[in-house]
Order: sequence, then C-alpha cells, then structure tokens
Amino acid sequence: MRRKLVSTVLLCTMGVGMLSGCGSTGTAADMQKSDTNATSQSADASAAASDDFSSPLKISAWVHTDDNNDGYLANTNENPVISYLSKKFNVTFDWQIPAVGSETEQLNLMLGSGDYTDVFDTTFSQQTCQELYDSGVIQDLTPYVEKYMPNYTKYINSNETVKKSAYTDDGKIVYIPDAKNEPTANWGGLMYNRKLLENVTGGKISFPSGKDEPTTIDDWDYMLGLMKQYYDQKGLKDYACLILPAAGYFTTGDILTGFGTTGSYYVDAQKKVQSGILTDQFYNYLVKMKDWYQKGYIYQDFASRSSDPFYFPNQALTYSGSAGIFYGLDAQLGTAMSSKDNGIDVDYHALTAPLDTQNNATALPANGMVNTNEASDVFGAGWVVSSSCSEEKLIRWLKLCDYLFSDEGSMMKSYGLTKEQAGDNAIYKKLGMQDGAYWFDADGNFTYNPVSDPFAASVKVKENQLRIARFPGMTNNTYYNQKTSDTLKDADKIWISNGYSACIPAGVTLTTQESKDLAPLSTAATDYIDSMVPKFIMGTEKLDKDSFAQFEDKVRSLGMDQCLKIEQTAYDRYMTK
Amino acid sequence: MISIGKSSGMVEKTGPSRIIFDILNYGFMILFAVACIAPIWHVAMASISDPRMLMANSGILWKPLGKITMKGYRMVLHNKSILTGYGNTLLYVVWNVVVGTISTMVAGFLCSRKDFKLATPLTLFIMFTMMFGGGLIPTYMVYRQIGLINNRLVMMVPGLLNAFYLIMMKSAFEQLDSGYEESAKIDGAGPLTILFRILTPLVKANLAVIIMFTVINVWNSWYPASIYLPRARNLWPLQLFMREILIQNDTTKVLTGTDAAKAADLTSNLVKYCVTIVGTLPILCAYPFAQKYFVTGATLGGVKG
Repeated sequence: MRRKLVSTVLLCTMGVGMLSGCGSTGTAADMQKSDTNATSQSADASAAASDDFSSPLKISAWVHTDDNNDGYLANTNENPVISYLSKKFNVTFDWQIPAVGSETEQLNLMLGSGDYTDVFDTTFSQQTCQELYDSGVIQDLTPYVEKYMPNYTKYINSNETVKKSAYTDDGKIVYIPDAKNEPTANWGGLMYNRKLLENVTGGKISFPSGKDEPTTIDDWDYMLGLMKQYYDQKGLKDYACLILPAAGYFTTGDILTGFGTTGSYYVDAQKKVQSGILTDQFYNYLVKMKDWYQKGYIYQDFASRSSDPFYFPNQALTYSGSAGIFYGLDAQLGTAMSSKDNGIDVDYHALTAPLDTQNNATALPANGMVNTNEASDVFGAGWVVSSSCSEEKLIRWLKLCDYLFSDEGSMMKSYGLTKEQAGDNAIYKKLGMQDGAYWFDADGNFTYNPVSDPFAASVKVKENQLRIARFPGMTNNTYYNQKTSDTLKDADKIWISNGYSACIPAGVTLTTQESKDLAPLSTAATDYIDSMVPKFIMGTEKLDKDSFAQFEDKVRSLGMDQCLKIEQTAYDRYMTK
Repeated sequence: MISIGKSSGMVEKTGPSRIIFDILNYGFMILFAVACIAPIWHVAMASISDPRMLMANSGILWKPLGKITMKGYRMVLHNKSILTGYGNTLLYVVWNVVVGTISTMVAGFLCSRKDFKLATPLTLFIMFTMMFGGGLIPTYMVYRQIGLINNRLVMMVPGLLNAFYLIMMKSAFEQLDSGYEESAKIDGAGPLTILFRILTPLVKANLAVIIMFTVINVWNSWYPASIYLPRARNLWPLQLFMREILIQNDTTKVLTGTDAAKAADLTSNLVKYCVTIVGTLPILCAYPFAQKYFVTGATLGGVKG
C-alpha cells in the first residue's frame, strides 16, 4: 500500500514537473483583446476627428536595432526624442525588440502566431507590404493618411516617383516610409591602392587614357600589370591585384557597367526589362576576366571565398596591403588602413568602372541604366499598422508620424532635440548637452554639439541614442551631407558615375502570386549563373561564342524568360499607376 | 625489453611492435590534443593582440600579435548586460541542474519499476516527445496561452525534464542488480530511501554525465530566450547577450561610417575573441573538476570484493 502511495506521489511529482505552467490566467488579456478591439471601434470613431490627446494610449511596436550595444532603442522609452514624442502625443510605447540576429525569425513568429504588435517595421519582412495587406495582417491607411497626415500627403504629392512608391498597385497606402530628403554618400565601392603604382613608377603614373585616374579597360590593364609587378618584386606569395566576389561578378554592377551591362535586371531604352547576364557585353566581361585571371591579375582563390561579403573581401589581404583593387568601405579610403609601425603604407582611391574601350564602349553607363531607381534613394523601409490596432491608436500613431514629416519633426528625427525641446531632459543634462544636440550659429551654419558629433574622432554618446533614425518620417540629410568629408564626397561622385545597377525602380512591387512564381525560377537561374561564371573565368569551362550561347539558353530554360515576364508585368503596372 | 606492470605486478615483455604502437599512440593523442587546444589558444591570443595587426593576419596565432592589449576585454566587461546575463545564466544552470536532475532521477526510477503498470506507456509517452515536436509557432502559441512568453519560467520549466536523460537514468536503474533493492527492503528501507540512499550512489557516473550535459546545454543556450523573451532583456542569458555583442561588433558592420578614424580603431575586431573567452572560460574551468566525478562515479560499485 505504502509502495503504491509513494509511486503515485512520484508520478504526480513528475507530472507536475512536466506540465507546470499550464492553466495560467495571464492570457486573459489576450483573450479579451479582440473583443476590446471590436467594442472600441465605435468609440474610436468619435475620438478620431479631434486633435485631443488627453486620453493616454499605449501602442505596442516591433522594431529592430543593431546600431550598438546601447542603441537608441535599447532603453527605448528613455530615448530623448521618443520621450518628447510620448509627452507630446500622450502615448507610451510597448517595444518588442528582437535579439540582434533573430529579427527575421522573430518577425515571422509574430506574423505566424497572429500575436501582432499595433505597428511594426517591415525591414525584415519576407513578405511585401502588398502581400501583408492581401493576407489581412495590416490595415489600409489611405483614408486616414488623407485626413490626418497633411505633411506626408504634401510630400508624396511633391514627386511623381515618390507618389508611385507610396501607393500599392491598387491605389492604397499601406505603409509609412522612413524617407530621406536627399541621399547620403555611398558607403562603399571599388577602390585601388594608388601607392603601389607610385612605388613602381617612381610617382610617374601614366594611364593610357591620359587621365589622372584609371577610367578605361586599357587603364586597368596598365594598372593591374604594375600591381602584379610590385607584388612579384616583393616576393609575396599571397596577394591579389583584383579581388572578385565568389560568383565572379558584382550583382551591384560594379565593373560590369563599364562593359555596358549589369549583374541583375535592368530596363532598356524601349522600357523592356532585361537581364544583364544575357548580353554580349557580359560575354565581353567574361572574356576579359578570363584574360586577367590567366595573367594572375585576379585573386586565384576568389571562387572559394563564398562566405566573404562582397564589400569586405579577404581582410587578411586588404589590411596587410596585399590587395590592389577590391570593393571597400568608405572608412577604408585614403591612408586609413596604413600602419607605418607594421610597414603597411597604402592610399586607397575610389575607382570607377573601366570603360570597355577595347569593345568600343564609349560612355558610362550604357543601356539607359541610369536614374531609374531614384526612389530607392529617398524612400526607405516602411512601417505598417497591424489589423489588431484599434482605430484610436492608429490615428494617434499616424499623427505622430506626420509630425515627423514636418520640418520641425524631421530635424528632431534626424539630429535630436534642440535646446528648447530638450528642456530638462535627464539624458541631455547628464551628458552636458543643455544646448541641444545641434544649433545654428549667428551665420545660420548648422553645428553639431561636440558631445554627439558623429564626425568627431571620439564622442561620449552615439548619435543614434539621441535621434530616431528608424522611425517613419522624413530624415533630413542636408546638414549631415554638408559635414561629410571631401574625400568621401569625391569618392561618391566616382562611384555614382558607375551608373545604377538595380535598375528596376524601387517602387515596383510584385503581387503575392508573382512573388511565389518568381522565387524558385530566379533561384534556379541565379544558382546556375553563379556556378558557371567562375568556371568561365578560371578556364575550367570553355568560353567562346557558342558555349556562351549554350549558357544563355540554359539560363533561359531554367526560368529566366519567365522571370523577365513577371518583372515586366510588375514594371508595366508600376508605370501605369 | 622487460618491464614490470605497475598495477598487476606481472612481468610484461615490451617488444618493438609495442614501442611503435606506443609512439604512434602517444603521437596521435598529442596531435589530437593540439587540434583541440589550438583553436581555443588562437582565440585567447587573438583577444589580447594588436587589433590592426590581427586584421591583417591569417592562420593560427601561437602568441599575441604586436603589443598586448586588454581593450577588447574592457569593452566587453563594461557592457552592463554581461553581468545581467551571467546572473541569469547561473540561475538557469543551477535550477536546471538541481531540479532537472532530481526530476530526471525520480522519473527514471519510476519508469524502471517493473511493478509499476504505467511504466511502459509512460516511457513511450516520454520517448514520443524525443521524436516529434510541435514546431516553433504552435509551441510559441501554447507558451503564450499559458503565460510563459516574456516570463522567466520559460527558461526554467519547459526543458526541465529531458527525455533523453530520463531514458539514460531508466536504463541505469534497470542495469543495477536487484539484490541492492531487495536487501534494502529487508532492512526496512522505503522507496525514497532506496532511491536516494541506496541506488543513487550507484548511478553517480550517469548522474555526472547528465549534470555535465545539462550544465553545458544550459550554459550555451540562447535560442529559446531569443524567441520567447523578446520583451524581457533583463531575463536574457549570457549567451544571447554575447551573440548580440558579437553580431553588433562584426567588423564588416562597424567599419561603415563617417570618419576614417573608425578604420584605424579596430578594437571592436577583438570583441568577438574576448566574448568567446569570457563566455567559455567558466565552463572550461569547471569541466576538469567535473571530470573527476566521471572517473569516481564510473569506478564506484555496490558489491565489494
């Protein structure tokens, strides 16, 4: 009897251990949530019409942050701008911030479980806003935007391209973007170590084009030859005159635009969507790369470095001064990567794509690839309002967002609080920033507070802790760009001269069905291309007109033709908006 | 060559084949040990190396590069989250080791009882959970319904009873001679006395393995927290904070910026190495002490000669 009793007790103990936590009443609020939403609709309607913010609201928001360990959203509600907005609009935010690296998974989980926050950032969404709307996850904001967002309405009506991007194909506004009044300089591009050339030529660099900087294929031939000569003279075994990405070409179009093509889709002069791979110019590119590879100009192991980001290739080579040309980052320009103590003396200059004069290319860029994606420079990731958000919250949120499209709100979003706005903000006081994050001097010149000046060598606080970079609204880049160094501005001009590569306008969106159809076809075609291009370059696959024609046929048979049709349909739809 | 066996006192003849075998054996074991230690040594050396020289280096480091620096460790240890994470991880480890191991022992004992009619269905029920899971979203929804999301209990309750460990314990109890239990019963011992005072010392080796596995698993765990504690950073374990620091200080990200000074100051490049050391050092230190119990536990026996 006693044994049975003990057994039963042990069984119960184990059962409790396994099932503990069941029966919690903590979800009652969740259960009631839908009811609350439903019953609040009528009350919301009357509250909607006024600017009365006397009733406090709590808005839940999903947002990602990877700025730094103490990023502006780590202690989100303490962020001075958020604190200011909370008071101004009588709103408190309940933030849901995923762990860095788990953003996509967390967002998918939220969308899959139906446990939506009121508003969320779609940067990590694997579905387009159109798809989210079609599946009932987010709300149509069109009537509210027109009624409650005068600043945003004015913005989207100011530019035809922006307007096209703001509306879905069926004429709805479903998201509010993080827009920019002007683009900032590119964060990276091709660069070459000019110091190598100076060392070999004794400072008498003479490009065949007669220009100071290399601009043509002949210039690159000359430059790469000198680089190889330099490394060979030094007896280096592991070096690279030119580092290509593992796929053998830049999908961003770098180098390729010099040949008159690109690494992805583009729209030709007849408004037809084309693939930059299936062109004679791409063949010319392959021939030249094969030639350079055989001469030892291209990094011999490029194809095996598939885990390197294209913008950060083999760092052991780039940081030891053993790379002549590569795709680098803005902060690597000039002599920043020199280390005299370690005998590393470099001077990296921005590099434009080499004009393929050997095949009679005469100007950059070819095929009308420029200025077709201007919207992506000013129209960033969007925020949406989920279907579980009440109308009262939606209106308050949109009014808050609209404020961030006003001149005053835009400055606040971009640069932080002024002296007057900061008032007795605890963080500003603690940092000794009572004069605000910025001010205009007597001559009207914009000045950053040195405490948070992003251009200063050392700062007490990172600028993102004082502003709200990822919020919807208008980011004012004007003053930031004024402060950008001349080196970067000059580099940017050179990089932009490469021409745009992502030539499908950013506002072109696919329907849910189009996305479903396109994904497998595009993956199959791209996988094949990425496997074949390195083989052509390294000479393990025969490269001539016939073999390239076979390659094109295979790419088309894998679905590229169908991909082009889908992209064309979406593009045409966009153009007729 | 003739040698005397130390343990048995028997005389052994050591021929050339034995010598060759010993050389190969020792050589292989040394190589194996070096292969295990080298990556950890590399990380330790990299963590105190000159960050600029480290960026330009490829291959394994046997000594620090350039002037030794502790900048990386300062960056890591100045992060308040590290202390929070350590505290949380210690709590989760202690809880899972103590409560989890006791639960596993009790459950294993129960399932090993031949006179317990539900032992087989219960074992099958538990084994079922080893092979089939509900999937991420259904699991999340269940946890949400029972209030575990953003709740510390989500790190302490769901994984408390590990089915694999339970089967291990069940097998361990089943392999024991029934004489132990019978003699204890004759002496008047009840089930609890039999379990904790008679049988448990006999399965110490298994317990040591389970405890070590539990410690390592919980210490390294970050995924459940990343999924189920999205709004409760103060409950995150150390490894999740460390993962975040690691990703945030990825050199490829921090280098894009407004001033070239960032390209020269590559301290953040050290962070990934320092974080690795800070996160693994305690477990590395604990392992040799725990290993002692593996040996002790394995050699313990109830039947004395």
